[in-house]
Amino acid sequence: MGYIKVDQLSHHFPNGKKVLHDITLSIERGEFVVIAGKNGSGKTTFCRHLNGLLKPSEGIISIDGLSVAKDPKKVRQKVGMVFQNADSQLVAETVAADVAFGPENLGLDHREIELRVNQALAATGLRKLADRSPQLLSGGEKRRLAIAGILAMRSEIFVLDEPFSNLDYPGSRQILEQIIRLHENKHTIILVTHELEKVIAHATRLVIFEDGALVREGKPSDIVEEVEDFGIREPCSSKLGHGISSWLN
Amino acid sequence: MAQLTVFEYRAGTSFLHQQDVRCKITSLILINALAFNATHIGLIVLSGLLILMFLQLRISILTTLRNLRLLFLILVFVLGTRSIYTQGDPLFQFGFLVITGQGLQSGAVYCWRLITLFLAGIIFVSSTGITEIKSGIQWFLKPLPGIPERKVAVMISLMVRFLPLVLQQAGEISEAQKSRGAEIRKNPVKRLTLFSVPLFRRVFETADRLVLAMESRCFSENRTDPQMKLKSVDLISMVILFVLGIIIFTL
Repeated sequence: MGYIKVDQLSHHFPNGKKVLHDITLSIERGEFVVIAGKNGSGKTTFCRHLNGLLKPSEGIISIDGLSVAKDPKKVRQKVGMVFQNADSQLVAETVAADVAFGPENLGLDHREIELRVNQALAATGLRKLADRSPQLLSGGEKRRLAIAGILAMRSEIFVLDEPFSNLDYPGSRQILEQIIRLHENKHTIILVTHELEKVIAHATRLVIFEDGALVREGKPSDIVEEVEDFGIREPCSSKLGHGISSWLN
Repeated sequence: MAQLTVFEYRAGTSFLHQQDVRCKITSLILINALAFNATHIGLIVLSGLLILMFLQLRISILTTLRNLRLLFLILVFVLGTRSIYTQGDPLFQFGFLVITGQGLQSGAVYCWRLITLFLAGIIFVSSTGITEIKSGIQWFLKPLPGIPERKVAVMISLMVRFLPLVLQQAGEISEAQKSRGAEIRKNPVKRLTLFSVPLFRRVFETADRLVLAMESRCFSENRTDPQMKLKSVDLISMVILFVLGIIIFTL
């Protein structure tokens, strides 16, 4: 039985447009799954279902035995989400207050909140910026702040929607290193991207979406050469016949 | 590089930052009430007090006033209407419009009052976090029957959170339109329409994203609020402000 279980998930918008068709997927605890696909392939919509932000038109999703549709609040404690636009995820006036936002929503006592905030800031290297306004952070720092907010909620699963978009090279490196650390610390990672180059070497599974359907899934090394058939750029090293290598090297 | 707007919280350790939020809300109400009832001398005292607060917060008043360009349009309108519609000795005459000395004086006082209100609001928002504002409003509304204090407090605190975002987006849209020669267009109605339609669209989109982000982090009205502790220094500051208020009121 999968830790995250998606069974025949379909979603259509109120205008009748079907954006996800019959998705069935099972993810084990501690996996690092990369979901890739062209723009408009349904990746972001799929992610929002994992966190209970959207309700399925058909099908069932369960996380560690909890139904996402029936128990969204408990599921949201388990599944943290980093949105594509980091700016819209920042809800408080200082870095520390933003990290505390989630634990405060859980109704924890002040001592526990302070402990969790300090731990999350230390884990993401943001301790020195605790009193800074989130608006003044760099793109990479804003993404790390979003991750810190999820760490403070002690979420087990991280869903990251295009975490490298609009980031410069140092910012992308910082985020990738942070994600690798999360995976090493036994978190389950689900990362949505169309830039396979940066993460493929660290993923345990690659899932490809096209026009709202899941069209391929498997070990990255097994299917990486097929990705260009689905409008995704094949990583350079693979294209040159050197297999998959880390973008950090 | 991003910049903070004038309506944003600035982290700090000043007395105003540490003052209990309930005292700050009471002070804000008191300053606003005084501003609307004070005479010239009262307004000078009040303005002096606000300048001291700005200095304490280390915020430049000149930069703040420069960022309140839209306010000056309102002030010009207030000054104009008061100058024309207040009866008194005529100073200038443009056709059927007569500007009186008393009108000009009364308009200037009204403008001063409005500036005082805005500056007091900026001091409050710059030194008070959103969660603190929410807790303070909640505390004041709690004894009132029939008012869902948590809901109202959340709505007001979100409004405060949203104001800088709206200003930032207005700035971005304005720059984008200037870069495409929007200033060449002379018709102000057309310019306003071209500016406000994308602004509203972006504001609603941002609001939507903010709601999703808050929901994804288990947002609820019943959350842990910051601890409010009334210190003796807070009480002393309130007493001083009340005494000052009585003096200003009688001047």
